[in-house]
Amino acid sequence: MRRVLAALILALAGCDTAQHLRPPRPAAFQPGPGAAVMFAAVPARDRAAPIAVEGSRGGIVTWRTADNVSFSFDRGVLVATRGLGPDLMAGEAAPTLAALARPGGPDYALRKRYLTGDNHDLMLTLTCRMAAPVVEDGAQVLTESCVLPDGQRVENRFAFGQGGDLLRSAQWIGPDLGMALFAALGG
Amino acid sequence: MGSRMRLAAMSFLAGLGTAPALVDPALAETQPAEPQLAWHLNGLGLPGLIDMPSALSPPDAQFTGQIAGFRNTLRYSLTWTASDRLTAAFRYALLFDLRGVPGGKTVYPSIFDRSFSLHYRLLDEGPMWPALALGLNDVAGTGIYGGEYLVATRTLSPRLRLTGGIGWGRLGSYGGFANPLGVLGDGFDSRSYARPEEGGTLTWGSWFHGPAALFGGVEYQLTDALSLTAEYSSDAYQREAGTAFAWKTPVNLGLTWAAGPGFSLSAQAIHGGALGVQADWTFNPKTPRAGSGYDAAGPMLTAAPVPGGDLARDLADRGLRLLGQRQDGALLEVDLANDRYVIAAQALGRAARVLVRDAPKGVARFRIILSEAGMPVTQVTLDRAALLASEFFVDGSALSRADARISDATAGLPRLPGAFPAADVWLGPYLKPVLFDPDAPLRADLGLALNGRVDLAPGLVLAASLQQRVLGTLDQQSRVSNSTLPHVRSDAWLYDKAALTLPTATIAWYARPGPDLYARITGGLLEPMFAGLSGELLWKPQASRLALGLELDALAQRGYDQALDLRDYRVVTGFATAYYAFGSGVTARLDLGRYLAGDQGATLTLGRRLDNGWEIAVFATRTDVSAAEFGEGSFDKGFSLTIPLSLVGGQPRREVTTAVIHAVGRDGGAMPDVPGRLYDTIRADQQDALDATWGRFWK
Repeated sequence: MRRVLAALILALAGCDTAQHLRPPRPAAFQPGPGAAVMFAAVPARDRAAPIAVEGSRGGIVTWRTADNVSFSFDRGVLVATRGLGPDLMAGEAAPTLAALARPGGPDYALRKRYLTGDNHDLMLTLTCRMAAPVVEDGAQVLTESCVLPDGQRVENRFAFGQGGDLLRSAQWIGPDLGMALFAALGG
Repeated sequence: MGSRMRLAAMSFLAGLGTAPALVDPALAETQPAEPQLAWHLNGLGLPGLIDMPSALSPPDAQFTGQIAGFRNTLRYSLTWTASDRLTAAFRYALLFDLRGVPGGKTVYPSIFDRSFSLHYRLLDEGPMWPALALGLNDVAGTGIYGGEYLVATRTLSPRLRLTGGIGWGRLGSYGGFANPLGVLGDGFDSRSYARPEEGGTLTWGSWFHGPAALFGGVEYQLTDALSLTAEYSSDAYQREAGTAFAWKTPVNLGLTWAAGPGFSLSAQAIHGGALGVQADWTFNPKTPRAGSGYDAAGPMLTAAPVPGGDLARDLADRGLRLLGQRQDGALLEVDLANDRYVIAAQALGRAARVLVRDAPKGVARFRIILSEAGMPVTQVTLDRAALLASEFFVDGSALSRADARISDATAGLPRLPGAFPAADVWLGPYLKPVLFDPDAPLRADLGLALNGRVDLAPGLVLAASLQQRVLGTLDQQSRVSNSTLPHVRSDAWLYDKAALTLPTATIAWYARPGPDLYARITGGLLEPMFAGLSGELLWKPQASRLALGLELDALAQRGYDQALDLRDYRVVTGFATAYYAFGSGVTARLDLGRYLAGDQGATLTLGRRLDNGWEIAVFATRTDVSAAEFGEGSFDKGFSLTIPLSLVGGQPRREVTTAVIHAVGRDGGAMPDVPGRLYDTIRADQQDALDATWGRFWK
């Protein structure tokens, strides 16, 4: 089932075959105006579903599934989830956005907040680095490698199309949920 | 992240065909680790090997249910790690062909034994030294499992752990030598043993007395799922050897299989004379499977009011009933009844989301009054701009709390027309277990309960419950009470005969007589065995660790059919109660007063409350009823367990379920079980509870 869902996402996301690439434009990290629907997959929850824009405020766009799971992005960078259980309560985006604009720079700290099963805030600080972009399948892919306080490594990946629009991303939600995969439709 | 993640990442890859992956499966996977030494609990439910203890402790708040058995011995244990260092185990054992005293002549065909153990980790394992723990087995029982120990455990490698210690009592019965504590006094040299029919009081007079012996063992992790345990046991099984089973060697061997998350099975060779099996089921209420819960996302905040919003309707959609509302310039006040969230901070957060979306543009601040049974408890003032600033901010939890003002709410708001009366009727299953009856350790009824509640006016509540048994075995009880006290509880089995019952039907009035004061008067069928009138006054300032209460109840015993009829017995009970929160969820409660049988005394309750609503407490009552008058158990004691139903399914629910288990249900030291007592009614809404759980505000 998971395999089918993931394949479906990619089929729907389409593959950008354009040959001419430009560096990503931070201002265009939102999926384009044609992408009012994305697909989101959370493998640890065995879920994949279309998500639609609920609203936006101050540069943060919240997308929601039909059954009220939500994902909030600050210019494409995941800053919150709800409805998944061990949600990302809030996460910083500014360091990642700065690094996307100037990849290959020094390490930076990325803070994220979670809620424990007994309702206490749990702050995690990741140490991250954004690698220089590489071209993969016609998209420009930037990889953010992060190390958790316990030494575990995770990678966030952002694939931009030729217009600088974010086509797909794989972003780490948290220690319990692992990765989430997002693919813009019609971008 | 485990194999599932890898599979998903691979699928993602497969979808890309030959294109490079967005997710590198090698990176989405943590490095495969060395097999880690598994947890072992011994056959008494304590950290240990097979029968012997070790010096570790399970993680804080961890629960384990265990069934362990071998020839003529069957033990059910419940273990709870009450704090980081203290582990407690309650045990119920069915023992057959057992001598009354160690090495004695009288052999009992069967004994049902209850026992309670405490295990305290004195020292953590360090670079140069082992972990060290002290333990007491069977601190207040018959002493069948009575034994004390001091034990050290050292982890030699990620696969290998060694344990060694010295034991007394049962743990000093094989290879024993003169008690080294004898230097402290001659009294330590000998130990007295109770017969199975005695007991129920603390056996501290014999702790660390009598011969001592050494024990030890080794735990080895074979594979991820399999571990081996071998021990040299200092328990000679002097009550069992030769009658219940053949004791041949002091060595025990075990193989443990981690069968699934939190579930393990062991096979054991017990003293060369019996094959043992043990099943452990472990879970930790601090880390429920649903994490902090699958609550559906709340609506996101909007900078401008959303057209078409209807405050009462939008709050009701979130399980919040709007009781009253008032706008005073830039301040909008709402009075809410929370029907959905067990953690009040989340109710506030959900209300805040609705208020930001629905309130007119000119409103800059919100004041939310949390009411219980229509009685105002707490008011929280929130700033609209600060809420907008903190919604997605990484420090938004602390920030939103810093911007909130919490205070006592002594007066509600003018009531909205239509807020009262409010009726609610629900039908649901009920389960009523009766544990540890010597004739059958587990009996239960399963049935349907029809519950109704009408909030007639602010603070005035009519409530009733009707139960119909569908199936069960409670009506098979036949333990005729031999109590010389008024049969206030020991006739419980007679109350369990009826299939259709009215356990409660009450009218209650709640009010705020002054700042920090709460009052209640409840009349009617208060509980299955007593009807009457109950009055209560509670003093509990918002962030106070201390609360004080007074209760007076004029009661008449109800008929066994739990209908409307009364028996002849009348009693006035009353209690002065002090509640204290020590921090870290540790609570104490002391009740002084007059109990149902007219006896006078005190109840001490010690509890641990997790900030998700889980609570476990132990209690003991001593009254002027003598141990002989009380009968089996000598005095009333037991424990209670409170579980929020939201943690069972991960969906938000306000209901909690509480089970109170008395070691032996007798007539001395019995309290009436009045519904809606004030402390439990208001506590979750007050500042100390809100502060402890504020992280849930934005959930």
